[in-house]
Amino acid sequence: MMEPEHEENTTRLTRWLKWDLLWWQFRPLLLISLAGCVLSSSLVLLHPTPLLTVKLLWPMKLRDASDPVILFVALHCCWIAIAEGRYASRSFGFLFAQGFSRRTLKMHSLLAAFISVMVVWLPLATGVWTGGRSWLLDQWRNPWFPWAGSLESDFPAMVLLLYAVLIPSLRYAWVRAALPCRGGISGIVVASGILIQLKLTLNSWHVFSTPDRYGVTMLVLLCLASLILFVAGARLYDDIEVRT
Amino acid sequence: MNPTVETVGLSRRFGDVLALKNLSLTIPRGQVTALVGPNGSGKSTLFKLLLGHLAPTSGEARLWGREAFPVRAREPVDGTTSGMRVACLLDRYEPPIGTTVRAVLKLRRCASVEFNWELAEQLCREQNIPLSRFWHRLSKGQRRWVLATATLASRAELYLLDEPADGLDPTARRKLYGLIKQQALQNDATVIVASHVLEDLERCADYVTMLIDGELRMSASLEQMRDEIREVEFSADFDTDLLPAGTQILARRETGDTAILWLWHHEQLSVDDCIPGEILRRKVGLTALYFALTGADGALS
Repeated sequence: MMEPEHEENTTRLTRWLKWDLLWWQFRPLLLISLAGCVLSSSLVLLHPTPLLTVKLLWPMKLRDASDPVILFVALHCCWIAIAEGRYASRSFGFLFAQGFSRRTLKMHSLLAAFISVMVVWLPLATGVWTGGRSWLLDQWRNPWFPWAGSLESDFPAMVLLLYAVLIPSLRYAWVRAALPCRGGISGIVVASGILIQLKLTLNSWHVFSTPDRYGVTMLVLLCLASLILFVAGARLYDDIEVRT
Repeated sequence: MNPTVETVGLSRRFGDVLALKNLSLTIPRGQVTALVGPNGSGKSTLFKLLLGHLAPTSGEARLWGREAFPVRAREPVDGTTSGMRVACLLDRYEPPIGTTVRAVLKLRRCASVEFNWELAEQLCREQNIPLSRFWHRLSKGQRRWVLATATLASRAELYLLDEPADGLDPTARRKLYGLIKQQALQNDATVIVASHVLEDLERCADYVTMLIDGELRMSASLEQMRDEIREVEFSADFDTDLLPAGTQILARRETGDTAILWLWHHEQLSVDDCIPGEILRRKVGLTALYFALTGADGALS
């Protein structure tokens, strides 16, 4: 028999989590999530050289294995922001007119974005961090592996960092644009500032050595700025207008 | 007790256009109120302001005494419940292509604790709309029917319906307005319906509120309108100062040597008894009054 406290928590979760709403918000992200899942799985299973760097976010040479991944991550983040943030579209108005609280809508949209990111990122992280990729490529007599496996360990974290920076920035930009006070430009300016900081942080990151104090400081500041943008975006979401 | 809907000096500007101008009105609780006015008179804007989808430029819109914008001001504190106190059907709000009828109903059920799935299913069946049909394969009328069905199957305290019967055939239209009336009566719900089909509104509404150019021109019960408002024909040189105190001239039109005035006498004293020297007086219906207040030519015919 279920204990009362457990039962209460379950009820609260059931009341809070609305599967139909979650599916409704995840559906626009389904295709790109599946495409990303295929891409990251293929990369883990098939790419013969080590996944080393993410610092070539711009200018991108599309020469390293990581570049298409980064390009995809950027595209994925834009897709998520656009799917969620078309505040003048008919479907946006429709969703907001269903009677859900803003908080429910916000939490479910964040959850949908999180699931979409995980669908792409988990195969990559699992393959690299469990050593599965290294073992597999070693079995295929790849000369780089298993010794290069340890060099790749930063790569999934870097990809996750990109998601963690890009999604709050883009989200903040559209939320600001949807506010009654018309802060669209300032939202873009702030988000662009964060992206520049991202570029500088990645530039200061060295694959073959421990990061220096400057690199670590930049990384901490970047994470802090993203967190602030994330919280600000979430707070301001309650006040956005539906301009259908 | 706070009124369900109240606006105080409510205005909303879109660029150069002032869509609503200093609107102050109270919508009676548990009644069907018809919101009428020409295109661009601010009806949809008023709905969006009440829903908290738009912020007022000035003034306030209140639901149950709480400000409509920002929405969180009237949402449950724990955020776990959907707070389905308002159900709405707005003109341009539609689900995306690729959605099925079932998905639309399920989404609404997910938001409303007391959603009547059987009723929604039955109403769709009556119109031969399979739940598995995709949205883009439905006709305009069928789409409207599904959205109206989903709205009315949700148990809410306030229904905001913008052209709910747009594109429906006469039978479906009559059925829908019957349902709207029933919903208001059974659940003691407040309903605000905006439509251009005045005959429908006259059958189902208890109150009428008329907006013209974003301004409130008239707000009264239909009974009041029938009893207290008269279309009266005078000679053109009639001095309106001779009208009894408390008489409001709603509209005036002059044709040659005669003038037609639409007069509203608010007090118990009947207009018929207190206006001297008139040639002709008529009771007015909603349609005639609408034409008179909007200055349309149809009023003269």
